[in-house]
Amino acid sequence: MKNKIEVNEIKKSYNGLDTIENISLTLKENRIVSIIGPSGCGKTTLFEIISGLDRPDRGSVFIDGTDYTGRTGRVSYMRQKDLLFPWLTILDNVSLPVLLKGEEKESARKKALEFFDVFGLKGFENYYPSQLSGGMKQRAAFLRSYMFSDDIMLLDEPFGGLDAITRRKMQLWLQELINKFQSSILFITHSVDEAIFLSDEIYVLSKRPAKVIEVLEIKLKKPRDISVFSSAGFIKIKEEILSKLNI
Amino acid sequence: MKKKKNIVFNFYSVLFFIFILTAWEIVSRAGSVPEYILPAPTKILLSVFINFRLYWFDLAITIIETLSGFFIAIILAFITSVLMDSFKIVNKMIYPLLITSQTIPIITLAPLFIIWFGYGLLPKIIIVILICFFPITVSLLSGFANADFEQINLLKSMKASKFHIYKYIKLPYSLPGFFSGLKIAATYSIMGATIGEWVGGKDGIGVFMLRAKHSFATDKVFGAILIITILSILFIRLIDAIEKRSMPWKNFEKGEVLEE
Ligand SMILES: Nc1ncnc2c1ncn2[C@@H]1O[C@H](COP(=O)(O)OP(=O)(O)OP(=O)(O)O)[C@@H](O)[C@H]1O
Ligand SMILES: [Mg+2]
Repeated sequence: MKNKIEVNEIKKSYNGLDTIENISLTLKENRIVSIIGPSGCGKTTLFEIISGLDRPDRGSVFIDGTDYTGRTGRVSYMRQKDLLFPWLTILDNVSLPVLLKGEEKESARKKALEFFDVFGLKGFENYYPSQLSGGMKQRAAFLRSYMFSDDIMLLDEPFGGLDAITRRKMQLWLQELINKFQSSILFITHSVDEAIFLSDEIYVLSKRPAKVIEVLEIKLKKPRDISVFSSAGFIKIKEEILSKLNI
Repeated sequence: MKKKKNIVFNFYSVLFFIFILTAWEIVSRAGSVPEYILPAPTKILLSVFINFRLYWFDLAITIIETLSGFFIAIILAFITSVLMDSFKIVNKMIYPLLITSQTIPIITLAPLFIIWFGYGLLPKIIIVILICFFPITVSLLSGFANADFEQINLLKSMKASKFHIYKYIKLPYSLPGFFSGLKIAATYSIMGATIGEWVGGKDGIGVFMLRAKHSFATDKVFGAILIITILSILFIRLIDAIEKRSMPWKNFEKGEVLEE
C-alpha cells in the first residue's frame, strides 16, 4: 500500500506557546486513520499544517511522495464548523470547489449533482444552508470537501455538533460511503467509540504540547455494524485507549 | 413568510394625519392666514397637477444630478474599499483622511464648487458624490473586514484567488451593510443636489424653488417640497426592492429548518 500522507516530526508553537511537540504519522492508501486527544491539544493545528494553511516550525509533510509543507490545494479539509456559505444554495456551495478549479458553472454543477443521492441530499439542491438540519449541513460540507479532492480528506470532528442519534446515523452512513469510495481519510474526533468504529488505525495524542503516545491498529472486521459497539474486541480496545488518555 | 407589521402607519396615525390636513385646509381657506404664507393642501395639490410640466423639467435635472452622483459614488466606493481592504498601506493612508473628512459639512463646500466648476450640473454631481461616498465606502469596508476568517481560509485551501474571495465571500457578506449605506446615501443625495442648486444653478428643482420663492408662489414651494419628498421615498423603496432581490437567501433565514 502506498503512503498517501507522511508527517515527519512536526513541531509548532504559537508566540512561544508550544502546541505540537513532535508528531509523525502515516496515512496509507484507502485507510481511515483517527486522531484522538484531549481538547485543545493541537489536533486542528495539525490539520492546518497538513493542509498547508500553516507552516510547521520544524518537520515536513509529504503527500503522495511530494513535499507539500506549507503548500495548500492538494488535500480536502473539512472543518469543525460546516462553513457553508449562507448566500449560496446547497448545489452552488457543493460545486464551488469544482468551479474554483476553472470549470464552467454548468459542468461543475453536473459533477456535483452525481453525488447528491449518495450523500443524502437529493431534493435539496436549491435550498439554502439555513433551511437544512444539522446532519444535512454536515453532509453538504462533507460533499463539498469531497468535490475538492476525493482521494485524500482531512475531517476535523465532522459530527461534533450533532445530537447522539443523528451522530450514530452519520457514523453508519460514513462507514458505508467509505466502503463505496476509494478515499484515504484522516479523522479527528473526541469520541473513542466513533474512532474505533470507523478506523483502521488510531493515533492517541497527549495533552498540549501534543505528541503521539500510542498508535493502535484496529483489526475488527469490516464492514462494521452497530453490533460492533458491544463486542468484546471493541471494549478491549476502548479500555486501552481510555487508559492511555488517563481517564 | 409572515407579513411584517407596518410600524410606520397604523389606523390612529392615519386618522391623526387626516385631522391635521383638514385643520390646515380649514385654517387656510378661512383666510385667517394669507395664502402666500400657508396655501391650502388642496391648492398645493392642484398647483402640482396644473404646473406639472413646469416641475417636470427641473425635476428631471435634479434626478440626473442625483443619480449620476450616486452611481459614480458607488463605483468610487467600490474601488476605494477594495484597495483599502487589499493593501494595508492604502488603508493606513486613506482611513484617517476619510474619517476626518467627515467633520467637514460637505454642503459648505458648495460655493467653492460653483466657483470652480460653474453653474452647470457638474458642481452638484460632485456634491452628491462627496455626500454618498462616505456611507457606502464605510459600509463596504466594514463588511469586507468582518467577513468570516475561517470561510476565507477554507476558500484559500481550495486554491481560490483574491478575486474569488471577494466574489464568493466578501461581497455577499457585505451586501446587507452595503444596502444600509446606500439608503443613507440616497436620503442625503437628493438634499445635496437641491442645496447645490440653491447655491448657484440654472435649472433643477432647487432653482425652481428659488424662483417660486421670489414670486411668493408659496403653493409652488410646497409643491416642490412634496415632489422631493415623494422622490426620496421612491428612491428608498427602489433600493429596498433591489436589496430583497439580490439577497434571496435572507428570505429563508430564521425560517423553519427541514428535517430529514
Ligand atoms: N493561529 C493560532 N494562533 C495562536 N494560537 C493558536 C492558533 N491556533 C491554535 N492555537 C492554540 O493552540 C492550541 C491548540 O489548538 P487546536 O485548535 O489545534 O486544538 P484542538 O486539539 O483542535 O482543540 P479542540 O479539541 O478543542 O478542537 C490552543 O491552545 C490554541 O489556543
Ligand atoms: Mg480542533
